[in-house]
Amino acid sequence: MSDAVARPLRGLVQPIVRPARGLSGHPWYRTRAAERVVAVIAPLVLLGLWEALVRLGLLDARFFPAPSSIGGTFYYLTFEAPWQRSLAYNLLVSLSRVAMGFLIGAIPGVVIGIVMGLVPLVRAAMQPIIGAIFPIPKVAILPLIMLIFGLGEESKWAIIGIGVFFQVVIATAAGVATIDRIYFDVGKNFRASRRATFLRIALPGALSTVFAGLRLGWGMALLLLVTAEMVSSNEGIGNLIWRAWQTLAVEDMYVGLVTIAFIGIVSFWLFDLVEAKLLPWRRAS
Amino acid sequence: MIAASLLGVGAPSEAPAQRSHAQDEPALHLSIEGLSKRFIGADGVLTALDNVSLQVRRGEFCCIVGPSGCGKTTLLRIVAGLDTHTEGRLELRRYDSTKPLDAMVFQEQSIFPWMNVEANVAFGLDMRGVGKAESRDIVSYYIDKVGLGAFRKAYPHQLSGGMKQRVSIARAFANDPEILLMDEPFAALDEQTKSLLQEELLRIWEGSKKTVLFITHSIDEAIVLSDRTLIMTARPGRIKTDMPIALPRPRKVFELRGMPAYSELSGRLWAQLRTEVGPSSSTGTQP
Repeated sequence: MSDAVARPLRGLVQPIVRPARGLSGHPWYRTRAAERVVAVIAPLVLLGLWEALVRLGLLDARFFPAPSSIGGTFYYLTFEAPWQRSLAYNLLVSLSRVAMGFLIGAIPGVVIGIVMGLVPLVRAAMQPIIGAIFPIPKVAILPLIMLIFGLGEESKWAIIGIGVFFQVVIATAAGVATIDRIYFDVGKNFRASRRATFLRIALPGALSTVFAGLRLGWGMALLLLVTAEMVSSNEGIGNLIWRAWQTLAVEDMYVGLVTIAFIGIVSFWLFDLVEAKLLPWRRAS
Repeated sequence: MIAASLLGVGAPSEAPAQRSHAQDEPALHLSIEGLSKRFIGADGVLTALDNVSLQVRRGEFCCIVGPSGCGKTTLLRIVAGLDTHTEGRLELRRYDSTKPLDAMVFQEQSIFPWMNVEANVAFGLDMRGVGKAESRDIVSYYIDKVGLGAFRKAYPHQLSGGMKQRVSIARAFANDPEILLMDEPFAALDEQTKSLLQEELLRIWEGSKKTVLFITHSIDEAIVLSDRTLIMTARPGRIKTDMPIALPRPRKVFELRGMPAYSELSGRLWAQLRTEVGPSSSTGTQP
């Protein structure tokens, strides 16, 4: 009885009206445009804050030099420093090392990975070897590599190549092994040759996993590049950072860090571009 | 009448040329005798197919209907050479050495996601080394024929399930095989799309008169499409019934379903199949 009293609108039909929202449907702070603007503003605000804190003496300029003074050093290293000391030269040296090492590792990585994925016997032979070597942090074998290849370019190519190879070969073999069996059945049914099976089924079928491996490999390549240059080189971005530590030129160090970050951002963006071009079938999926 | 072609199995097969001359009837294209497929499972030897015998004549549209898991897909894969049998004899005859022997239309999504519609349809032709110009014409013809003219450059992820199967059918026909093997190609499609595709398949096939071995679990599909329907028992699979489908061609799928002969065939096939799909399906009735 008292229950009925607690519900005074009983029997009355309350209409629920949902008003039309128009084309945009969202308030301004929930639009994509707003997100983009914030994504640009936020880092700028952070930089401004950093600058202000240093100028006010609240942030120790010995460790965190003001962005404006880093910018000045950046300008000096780019336009005024002698060629051998300039940022462009060091960048060039580093990029050619990492590109060379990457190719040395990635190409055999893809080929051997596909063969491992296609031929069970090859996989059985390679798996334990790769499984045993892969977990060793590649930095740990750098001294051995330098012993074998010396202090020149070859040892940089070798250590980067080794790091890249393992990332790529594992991803590629897994990529081929996980291609749906039905595609190989189709190949067999249409009497595809070995070559056609390799080029038109295994390779494209594994390509997106291969790309994931190449990205991992590239990250590994940058890591090993900087490490190798710190240990045994008189040039390159890694050396620039290391020398900045030895001479306590903190601004130089930040320029090196920004540069290596920039290489990372641009190269991964390039990976996206190439992948979209090479894998048009994945564009919208 | 029904048993006539079953009895033929027992007779030793003669040379194909002689046979086609000696009789008015179209020549044999596929002949299977006492075929079994066994494999070693966790608890002993498992029999997937048990003493299967069947014959398909040249130009015949033959359907095999069976309950799920009866091994009908395995049988088709054995015919296609994608799987092996443990006992028995399988003989495919070649009548035209310029054509590929068989092409299969698979049940699942089997068109290559990394190729567009044109490249998928051209796959068999590419593998055979057919010239670019000739290949382009054939591909174009079959793409139009399955109604995908506006989607030549589209990739599979942009297509619906029905469209993907259309590509798969065009790929098989474009390769111009002597025998077409179809493994429940329409099983995953909705009813409307299924009927449309059945109609399309009939239209393309009636022009080509290829030999077709078509696997399905649907009695309706078997009646609508085939010249002859075989029913398989539940596992281990055996051929239980061999029934001619003497309906006139060219057929219109929707009209056919309203015909009294359709209902009558449907009833007879159901009576054969229902004992196989029930809970007590493990014991076959045929000796």
